[in-house]
Amino acid sequence: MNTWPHTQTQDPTMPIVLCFAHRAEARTLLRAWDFKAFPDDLGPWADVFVAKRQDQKIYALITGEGVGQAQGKLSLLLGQLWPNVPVIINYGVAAGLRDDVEQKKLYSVKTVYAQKHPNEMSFNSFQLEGERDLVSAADRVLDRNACEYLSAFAPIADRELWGICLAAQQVKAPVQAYKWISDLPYKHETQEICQRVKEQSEEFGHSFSAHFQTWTQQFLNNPTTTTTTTTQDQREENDPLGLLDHLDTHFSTTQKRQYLGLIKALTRKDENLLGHFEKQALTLVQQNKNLGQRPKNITPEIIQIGQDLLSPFEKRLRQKLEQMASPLSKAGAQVSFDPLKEKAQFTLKANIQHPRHLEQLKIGLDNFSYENFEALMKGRDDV
Amino acid sequence: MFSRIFVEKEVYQTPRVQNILKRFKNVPVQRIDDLELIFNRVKKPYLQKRDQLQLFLGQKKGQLVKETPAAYGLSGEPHYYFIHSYNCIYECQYCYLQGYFNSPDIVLFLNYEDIAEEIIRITNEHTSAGLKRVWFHSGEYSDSLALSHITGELPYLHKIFKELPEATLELRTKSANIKELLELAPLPNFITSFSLSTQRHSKEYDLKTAPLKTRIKIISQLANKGHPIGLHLDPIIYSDTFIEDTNELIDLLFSSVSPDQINYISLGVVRFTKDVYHQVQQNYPESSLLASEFSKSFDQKIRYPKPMRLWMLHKVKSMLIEAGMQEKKIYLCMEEDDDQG
Repeated sequence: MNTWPHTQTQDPTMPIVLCFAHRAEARTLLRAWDFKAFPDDLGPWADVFVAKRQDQKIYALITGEGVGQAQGKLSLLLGQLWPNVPVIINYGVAAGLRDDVEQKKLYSVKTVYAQKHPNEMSFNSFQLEGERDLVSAADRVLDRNACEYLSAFAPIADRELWGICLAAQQVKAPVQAYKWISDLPYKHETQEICQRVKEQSEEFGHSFSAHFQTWTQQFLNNPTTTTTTTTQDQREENDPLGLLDHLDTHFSTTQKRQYLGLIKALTRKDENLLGHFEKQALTLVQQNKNLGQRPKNITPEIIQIGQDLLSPFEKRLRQKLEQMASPLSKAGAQVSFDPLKEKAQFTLKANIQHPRHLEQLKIGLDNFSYENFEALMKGRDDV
Repeated sequence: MFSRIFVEKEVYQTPRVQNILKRFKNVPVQRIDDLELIFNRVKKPYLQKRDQLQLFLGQKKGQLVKETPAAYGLSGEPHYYFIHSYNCIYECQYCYLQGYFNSPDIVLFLNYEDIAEEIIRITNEHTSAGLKRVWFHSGEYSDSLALSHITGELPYLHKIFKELPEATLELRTKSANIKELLELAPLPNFITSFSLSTQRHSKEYDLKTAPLKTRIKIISQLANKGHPIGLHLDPIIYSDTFIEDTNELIDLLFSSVSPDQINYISLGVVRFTKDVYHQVQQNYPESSLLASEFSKSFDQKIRYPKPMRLWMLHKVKSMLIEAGMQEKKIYLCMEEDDDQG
């Protein structure tokens, strides 16, 4: 299942691509928004129109019918627009497969499924932010038989949204879809679908145009919308401690990711922990500065502070193991424990160059209690 | 509760199906050839269960009764689970069903006779080999009691197990729906087992289930009527107030139920497969569960480090013993209390 980035998080000046399967679906909107044909020298783009509103470009793409057509044509346009990633809106007529959707009504789409063959579905699904599920049918849905199978998966069927989602997924473009129910084939079987749709073209054309008018007003004028690039506000939201921007810290890309992950996890666990993290980390940063050390020297320690706050049990376990192993460490041996802590075993490494080293190791081993170590590893001892 | 009901054509006219449909007169019903052609065929978002939960009624084909994994129940006796239902109306944030099926929709298999036939066959096989008791668990993929008022399954199972004393049934639940159960006479081999977590975790993670205090009240009610009771303190989740919270749970429990009224208690620490953990991240991104001290274990499962989980299990076990529970009635679920290494 694929979940799309939410539209609210997009830049209000980002381009918009409107996708229609047929010209009849687009006509009213194209006129209302004064769309012009895309420049002629782009040949294959004959089915693309463009309009401008303030600083925003709006493209209208006529994909043709079928998932393959929609995916192919939209992919070409998205490639042309790259590296700009647009928000994609699909308007179109669709069949109502069940009585929980009404004819001549516009619905936003929630989950998108696809029919591969007459009795086989694509396993995956796309999740949009809407109200009703939709299945992109392998063929036109004209009779009760076709309805019966598909209606088990969704109340609405179209012919292109799945292809639009597949193309959009490649560039992680957000998708929204709005479907106008033109016919109810489970009630009225018909082979004259084109004629019926043509008869309703004025109604759905107005419906799409009016919806888009409202949509753009909300999208362009909503002051709460933010951009996809990281703003100062977002940085503060992600790093309320400000350690990433601190003059005396340095984080590599991996460490930055670890640090932000810790901030998120600590917030989930208990917001008060952030205060402890900040205090301990800033003390460390200051001490490091006073000693004239390089900022990057203490980054692993900063991360360890966060991890210890997040995992107090593991911290105590680590400290207890270190304490148990101290007779061996003092004897010059390196002690390493199973990193997964699944086995009550440890590896001992010692460099013996003198009989004295052996004597020290013997003393260290005498002072190490395997029973205590085993009890700790098997949960029989308090940590 | 359900937005749509799908019924296999073959069972549509049966009294069981018609009785269920009578309860959902306003829900659209669609007849289908085979639920396997629809259920689980597409990846349906788990949280659609909140507003678009669908019900499938049909027959289970293939293997109806399966052997449980090791360390599942009281040791030394064979354990099986039978498949009578898929999915659950509750929404526990740690639930493995999130990653198990590709759909949250509820499936009820109504061919009880086939399941019973298999239970009888397996029991006879074991008893003729000299074994005195065989366990059958329900609720592996669903809650055993949550929908018992609509399935009519309990009286049927009761009748079967009454005539099969060598077999013991365990009904696993987090529900307070015991109306059907109270109408049945207690049987020593017809055990209802309740999963309990601390009050704090129950509130935070067991969404839509009966509150802890209600579950304890229900346990007491059943126990006082003579119904055998099992308990699962599972999943045990660590918190900074782990000891206090567990003490509170044990106090609450034993202030209503005597330890002698409990047949057994199993203990299990929270664990996830990689897929389930991924689903938890997706479905409950703000859950404090995700800030726990988990790590990827030797078997790729996400769980606490072994010293931590064993410490938790030992702690809870000793607290239970201190509260009067007999040690022999406590077992660890899905965890070897081993001497590995």
